[in-house]
Amino acid sequence: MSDELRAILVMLCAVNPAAVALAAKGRIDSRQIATVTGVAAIGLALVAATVSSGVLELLGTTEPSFQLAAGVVMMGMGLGALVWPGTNRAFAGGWREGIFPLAFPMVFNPAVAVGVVHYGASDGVFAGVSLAAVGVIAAVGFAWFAGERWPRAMEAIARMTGAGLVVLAVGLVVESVKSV
Amino acid sequence: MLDPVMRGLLVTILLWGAGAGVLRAFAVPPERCPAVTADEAMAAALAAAGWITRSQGADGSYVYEYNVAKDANVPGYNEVRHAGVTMSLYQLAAAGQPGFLKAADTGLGRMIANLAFFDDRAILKEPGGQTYKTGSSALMLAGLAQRRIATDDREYDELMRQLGRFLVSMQEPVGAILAAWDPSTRAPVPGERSKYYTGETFWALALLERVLPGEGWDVPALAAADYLALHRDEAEGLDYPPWADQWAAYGLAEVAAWPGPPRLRAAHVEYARSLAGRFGLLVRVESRRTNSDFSRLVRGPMARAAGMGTWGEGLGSLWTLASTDPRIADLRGPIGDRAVCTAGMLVARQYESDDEAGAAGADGAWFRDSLTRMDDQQHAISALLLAATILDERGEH
Repeated sequence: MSDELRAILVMLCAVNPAAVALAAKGRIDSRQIATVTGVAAIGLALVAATVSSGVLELLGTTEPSFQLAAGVVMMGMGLGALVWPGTNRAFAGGWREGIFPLAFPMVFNPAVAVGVVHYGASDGVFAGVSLAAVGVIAAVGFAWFAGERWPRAMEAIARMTGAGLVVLAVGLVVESVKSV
Repeated sequence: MLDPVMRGLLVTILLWGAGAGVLRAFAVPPERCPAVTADEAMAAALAAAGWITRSQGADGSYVYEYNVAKDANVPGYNEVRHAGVTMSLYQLAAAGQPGFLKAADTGLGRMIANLAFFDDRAILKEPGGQTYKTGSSALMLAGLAQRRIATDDREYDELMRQLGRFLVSMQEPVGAILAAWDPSTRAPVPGERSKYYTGETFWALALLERVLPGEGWDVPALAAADYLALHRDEAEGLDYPPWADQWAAYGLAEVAAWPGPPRLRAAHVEYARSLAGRFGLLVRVESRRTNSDFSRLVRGPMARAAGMGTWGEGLGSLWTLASTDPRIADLRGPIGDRAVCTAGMLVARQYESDDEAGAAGADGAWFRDSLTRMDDQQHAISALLLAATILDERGEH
């Protein structure tokens, strides 16, 4: 598997579109909400990617060490999705729920955050944002399309995606351990 | 009263903050690499050599172990470490610092007095030992080669050949080096290997090929390299491969510098890359350690200088290799960074009598739990010399 394909898979699994669809409970049901959610999540990713190198400098850590930490966070998030796919949250109604809780923290969750910082610091801001955008668009599109339909199928896919994230995160950890 | 949405947002932000705190404390603590210049690294190496030679005995022996809290030497001696310390003093001379050549020659005198000759071979004996360790002879040969590089004096060329022939006679068909020679049977002890000695012998033979080229030392050296790269960790049951073998790194760098077409095979380069990763990890982990109780509890105690020195030697050697072999050139930058980080930590942790009252005799050494052993200084000197080269090349004087 190429590094690029793996990075795309990591970010797709980190966003976990099925888990987003499950947790969104059909709230992404209009172009307006979908746009607000997508723009807000990509905006957060842009901020994270832009400050990624500064974050590592501020933390006084190296790329391989942050990669290990990112892998640990993703493992936790993957296990979380495996056990509890989808979360219950209160929705305020209106377009603002596209920002909270849909964009943050459902789409832009901790796994996505560390992923963007990791890829932003190692491969550049554009790579970090692009990878996040792929995941965000997939999640928002998937949630809009699925609505509240097929909850069991969504749950199964979310669990499988969580398992996939665990596997990919282990790979990130192993790679960081082997890095100079 | 907050509405449920705002409460949810607040709780989310607090949870993210708490998670980031836990991550900071346990997974990404700061990595501290004290700034160091080439001059500071060299000065630290010279100070360490000063500690080694200040109390050198008339027979060439060094202080083996010293307790600074009790201001007392700890009994014991080890011929392999004696050979290693002497070799590091010759490395210093080869790096353009001849001030300790006389002390190194005195240390060499002790080894020459302890040699056993058998057929056309020379073996460094272990006084009082029932068998002789191969590692002593390997490091003696490496030291003599460094002396030859430093002085171009050919006085010991024949002795180097005799030591080389002994080492080759200890090599098994797979390339491994047997660990001990039994004077009672006048033969190697079968089946006994050491995780150190094959790497030491590999490097010694690679150096011998450099100083006495065309005599066939390259063949056994490369056989040892094959064993190290392809079989050693599994054959010797070493956990978490690759075992962090700085001697192998020295040897690989030396082979890469042989004149003529490249002699390192793809498997050797792959092994070098894996070694770089291992040394890098060890340095990254060490750079997070402090003397605080929390750090000791979560990340363990700070490593002794001997351990850090070996990582620095390995990284410095691999940096040399990466400067020569384009197949690993992409790692040259990060390898150099970690080698310099090691040097920075060594310089920062070196004992100076100004630090505490008294014990001026401890200056230049590295202590852990009040103890220092001569190989702490040996490995630190070697690592600092290599780091000084990197810093010099980077223009950081």
